[in-house]
Amino acid sequence: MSEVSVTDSLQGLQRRLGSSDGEAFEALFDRLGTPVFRFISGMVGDTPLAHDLTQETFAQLWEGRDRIDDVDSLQAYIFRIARNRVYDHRRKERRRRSQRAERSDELSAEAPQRPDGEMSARNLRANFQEWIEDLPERQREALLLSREQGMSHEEIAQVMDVSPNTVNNHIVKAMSTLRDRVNHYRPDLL
Amino acid sequence: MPPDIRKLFEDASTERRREMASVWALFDAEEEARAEAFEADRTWAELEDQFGLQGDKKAEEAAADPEEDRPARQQQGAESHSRHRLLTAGLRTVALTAALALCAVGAWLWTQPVTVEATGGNRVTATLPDGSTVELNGRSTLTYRRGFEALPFVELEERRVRLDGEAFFSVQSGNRPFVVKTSNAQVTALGTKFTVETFEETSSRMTQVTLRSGQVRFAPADRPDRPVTLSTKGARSQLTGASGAPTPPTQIDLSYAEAWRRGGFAVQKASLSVTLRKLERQFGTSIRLDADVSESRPMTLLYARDAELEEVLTDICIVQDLTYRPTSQGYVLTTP
Repeated sequence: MSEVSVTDSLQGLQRRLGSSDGEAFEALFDRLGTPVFRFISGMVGDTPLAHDLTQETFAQLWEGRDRIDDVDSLQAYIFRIARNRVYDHRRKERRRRSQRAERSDELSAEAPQRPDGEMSARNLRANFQEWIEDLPERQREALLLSREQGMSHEEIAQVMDVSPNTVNNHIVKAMSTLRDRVNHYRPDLL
Repeated sequence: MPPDIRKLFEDASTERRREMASVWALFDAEEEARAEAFEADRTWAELEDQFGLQGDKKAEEAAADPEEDRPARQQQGAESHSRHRLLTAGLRTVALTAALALCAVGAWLWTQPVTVEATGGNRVTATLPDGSTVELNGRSTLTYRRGFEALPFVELEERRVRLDGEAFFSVQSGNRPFVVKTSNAQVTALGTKFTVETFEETSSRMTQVTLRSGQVRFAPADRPDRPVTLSTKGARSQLTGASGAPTPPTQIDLSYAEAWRRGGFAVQKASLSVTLRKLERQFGTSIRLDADVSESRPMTLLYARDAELEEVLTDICIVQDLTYRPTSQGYVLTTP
């Protein structure tokens, strides 16, 4: 019900952004800055980095504003930019790491497995965050997107470049994995 | 859970559906904490620097020039621009009498205030003539003079709006004060973000103001010379009646005050009757209290977003030791 009006005015903002309206850009940032940050930080799990990538996302949105009229769903478009920033960063990071590995015989930065006792003693939120990070990339992405701005699975499919059906499968799998993990550590919560 | 997700588990057992809803709720809490780490103001300041957006006023003036006027820009100032064109075209081509008649009709139309209304259960976002935006919660109405002008091209001294209900204002800075009038109070701002919420009971009228950024002056309608100033993030003040004094500002958690903007629902230390009134407004329903709970326990509830009415009612009933059932008009709460 509420989505309708929000979408309506997003279209208005999209038009105004297309004509270089700085205020419309600010209004968009107000509306979607936090969701974009939340998505990115869920993907990269690092707050300073998530800030940088969020800023880059909006910078790219502003720089490409003269092409925005052709965009179908502004939300899907913005999250697609955000997603590309995340994957770009990963590529660069991998390249940097492999170069560094060539220079020295550095060990991979893999964290040691935490013992179960320590795990259950830590608060649930931290655990939950870890479980989200442990999800396979695509599943995590689909799940994070499904929580943002009431995006339809068609829109998520546009962001991820897959079919809506695949999006559904990713979400079902991700939710089931999370349930199993919650069940394993804190059965009382379910 | 949003309907799209719920659908995925439609065929699952009740037990599994319940588990999925719990996982979803745990995820809510985790995400809320994650979003809190976002330093929106700093990130925006960096974007402004990067693109020189503070100097954008020049571009705006250029856009206001009719020859430069691009279609997308007209959206905001649609009223004044189309009127301008109509007037010049009229003088050129139409006989003087027709033009005069047009003016008379136009003048009459002009005096009709603009109304933005959100019906129960809906939220509406609107852009005002000065570019400020307002988000209305359900069952809320905002009215203002067309273009914030007394007559065509004659600006009012204040950007004045009238609010019944609840709304979040994001006010563009400007030379003219931005004034929100309610039935018993007025809130004055320059460039700032804040929430105004009103309650109309038969016996009393209440207005509550919560600040997000900037500064506002909050005064009784009958005593505009006696304002309380809110100037820190999360400051809140209330006024009951039109001639008393607003309460001194207290600090509150904005995630409670603004949960409704994301479809959430929240109250802090609220009475049962206020909580039910807020639910009615937000969900566009009627909730009757058929129990003697004159001494109800104050409640604190937070559903950060996408709250569901029955979920909230269930929790309220647990806290207040009541039960609820649907009726033809909405719901009724009774003692078990």
